[in-house]
Amino acid sequence: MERNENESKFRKTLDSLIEEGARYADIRSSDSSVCSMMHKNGKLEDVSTGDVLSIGVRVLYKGSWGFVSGNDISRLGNLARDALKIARSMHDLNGDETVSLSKEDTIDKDLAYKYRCDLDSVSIDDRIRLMEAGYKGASEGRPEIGSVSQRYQDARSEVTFANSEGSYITSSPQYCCYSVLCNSRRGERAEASYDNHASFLGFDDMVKADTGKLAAGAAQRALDLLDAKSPPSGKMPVILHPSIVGLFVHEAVGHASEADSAERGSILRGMIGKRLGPDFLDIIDDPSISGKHGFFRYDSEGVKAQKTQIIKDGMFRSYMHSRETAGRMGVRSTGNARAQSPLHQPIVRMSNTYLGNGDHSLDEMFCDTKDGIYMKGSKGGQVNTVDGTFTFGAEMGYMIKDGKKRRLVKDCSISGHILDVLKNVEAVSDDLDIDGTGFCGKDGQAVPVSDGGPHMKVKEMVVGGKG
Amino acid sequence: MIDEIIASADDQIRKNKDVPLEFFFEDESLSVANIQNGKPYSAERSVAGGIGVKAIVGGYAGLSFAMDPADLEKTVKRAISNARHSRLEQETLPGKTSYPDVKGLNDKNIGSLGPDDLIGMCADLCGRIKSIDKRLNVSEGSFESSKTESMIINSEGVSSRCSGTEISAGAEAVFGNSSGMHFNASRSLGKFDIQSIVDKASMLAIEGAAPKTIGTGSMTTLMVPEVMEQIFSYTFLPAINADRVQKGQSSLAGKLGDKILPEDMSITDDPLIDSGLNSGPFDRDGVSCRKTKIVEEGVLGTYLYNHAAACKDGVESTGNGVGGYSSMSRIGPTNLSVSYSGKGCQDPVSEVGDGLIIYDVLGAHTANPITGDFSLAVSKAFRIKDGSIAYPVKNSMIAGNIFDLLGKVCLAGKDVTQTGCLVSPTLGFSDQKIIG
Repeated sequence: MERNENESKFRKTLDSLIEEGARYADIRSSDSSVCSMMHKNGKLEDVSTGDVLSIGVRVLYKGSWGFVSGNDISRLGNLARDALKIARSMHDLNGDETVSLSKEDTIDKDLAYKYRCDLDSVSIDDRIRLMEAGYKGASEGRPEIGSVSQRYQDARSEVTFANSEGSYITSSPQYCCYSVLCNSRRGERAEASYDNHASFLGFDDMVKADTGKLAAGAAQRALDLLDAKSPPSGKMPVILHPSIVGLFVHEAVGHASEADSAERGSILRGMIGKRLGPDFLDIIDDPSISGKHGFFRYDSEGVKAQKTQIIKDGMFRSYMHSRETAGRMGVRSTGNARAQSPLHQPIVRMSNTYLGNGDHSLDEMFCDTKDGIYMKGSKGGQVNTVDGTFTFGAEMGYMIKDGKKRRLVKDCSISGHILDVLKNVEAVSDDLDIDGTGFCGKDGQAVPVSDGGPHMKVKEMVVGGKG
Repeated sequence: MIDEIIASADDQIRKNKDVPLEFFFEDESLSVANIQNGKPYSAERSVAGGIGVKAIVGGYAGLSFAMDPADLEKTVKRAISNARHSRLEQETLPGKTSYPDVKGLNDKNIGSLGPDDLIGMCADLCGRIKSIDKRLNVSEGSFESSKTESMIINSEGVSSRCSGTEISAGAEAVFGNSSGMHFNASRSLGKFDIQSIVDKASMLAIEGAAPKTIGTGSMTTLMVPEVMEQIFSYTFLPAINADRVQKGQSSLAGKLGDKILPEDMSITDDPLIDSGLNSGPFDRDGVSCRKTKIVEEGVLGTYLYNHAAACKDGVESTGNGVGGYSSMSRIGPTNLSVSYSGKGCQDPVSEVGDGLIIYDVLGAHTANPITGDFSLAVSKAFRIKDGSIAYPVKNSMIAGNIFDLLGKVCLAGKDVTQTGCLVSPTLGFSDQKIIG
């Protein structure tokens, strides 16, 4: 890839910000061509294409930040001056001198992304074929599938990061994302199931993912749910499928382990070195796993992606950090500062977050459960990191009686308290699966993430069913 | 720049006489100041916008967009090419019409606010919360002011512009291991109530400390407007969306004219409310905005339509096309008012006597949008005994169905508040199951 032509302009702007008194500054820009499609019930209902340009300048003046963004790169000089002005105003008011960024390596790199099938050479018809395969997979031989909605999006971007310490990183990632929602109907009963696939591995990875198979799976689950009932409510032992374990690890443990959340008073504030669960409990965040949705090579502050052991052998080991939170806590950044786009400021975020393998088998977990519930299929969750309450929804589950899977149940929600649940983990299986693919929202920014784990058994959780 | 866009759009309309074209331009300037750990922390400003072009070819619509208006010719060509692939049926674009005069959309005092002003407001808010109790800390918060301008032009002669301003703020106060959050937004700086954020966030944090479990049981339950908005957004709103109805994804399909709610309940979408957060003269399709009675005395009168869904059903659009320049029009509410003509009361807590009041829930997005079933964690609630707040509650859930829930409505407070799209008072529901 050729060196981005903006380099001298970016470097000059950063140098002049430092000359004018800034302690640190960075510039991020992105130039993307995007395509999005919506396919409903066998018909392509939306084809949109467009160009998205964005640039953001962040300035640290003494201990205060100023940030300005827009979509006109020719105004870079003005944006930079405005950002410094805002930072100065902020400093005039709060007099903060305490911000000191962690010391990190200076990186000067063009990250080569090689794609066998460049999105530039993929036609609209190639993309449409993904949806046609999905529709066929979902609807063929399934008359009770009432509707199949599919969405496909891709983006081909030129991304640049530059900072006043001399880092200059360019990359040209290509992103593809597919999702399918199948609705089933029998008389008055209606159910739905969802699946997706997304990665930075290029269009051929999307073809390999087999939209027909993904959609058929979602359709079959939507049909199965027609026979399911709401679970009973109350406290009971639960076995969580990797899809729900991922949700738990992300929502309950991950958010509270973000250093900025901890600073704001999360339930895990001041817990480094403390025991949170049994000694077979490991929780990890690792952006460097290339096929996963939370993959990146350098974060939005130019820090190299790395594996962070949040919980090791049941002990709380590390927060996830940006350079600012790391600086305050006297450690190195874990490379978890991410921004949705150059129009947003980097904040501490997760990437691919998962529970490490244990040594039980799923069969053993079932055998040890007299009365309980097995839950699978993430429907998302939410957490209050301060009081430690969280909830998540499972698409379906099975009641467990005398160690055996019994009747199918649907729309199960569980809630609990982060520390109670960690303490009550009874077993972790050895079948790690990091397959949860989605977007995590925080402070108005959505970034791609994945989550997962093996199966996990918890002694007792509150199940909120209608039955 | 706007004049250049108009001239360029008109030129494209002339050059492409056989292709109906729509141009939607949007520009937003935004100022934000953030609070972290009890003090102003960072501030930002952004100016961004773009233009979306919709083309109709052979009865099908396609869209393309760009951020640089100079690219309009290329964008039109791409929209036409996309329309050739699309099977989104749309025979026509809406025709020229007159638009209502909606008051209170702009406040020049908001338009002139910059990051510096918002930084000052952040400091003021932190000070006010600290003055309630020194042990309170504002863990995070922000002030945001925006000025937006939108314009729609189409081949049928529609050409209209509108602008609006808004200020919003939110804060989370922390008291030990208890937190309280409140958010407020307004189109008028004079009517923007910072003190309500201070009072509500502080009260929830202080009163929420040392919660108790209450076990499983049924009781009269009050839900504040913010909780109603969360539940409505993921259950009732998808059910009245005509696009979802047409695709068989709504339990209200085929129920026009049926009694779906108690007869003392009505629901209206009104984009013409003075200073309404989502008020405006025209929708994303350029259709004139109007008041729509969705449920009147319990009877379902209509679904919400944008132009495309209305064409499909052969009815008139309700003017509920929403969306930005980079996407096709979707269906969404504007200001959705819930009214209950049964028992009203000034002080719902004292009226209930024995029950629960819920201030916040987690997990509303996990509700089933087809059936309206929901199962939520109660994250901030208080047990009511002897007509007053007794103690905070933890580890509880509520589960139910939106239509069953609304069927059990038994009282409404006088605290009508707009949260997002929902304008609602605190509502009370008899015999609500609480799982703990």
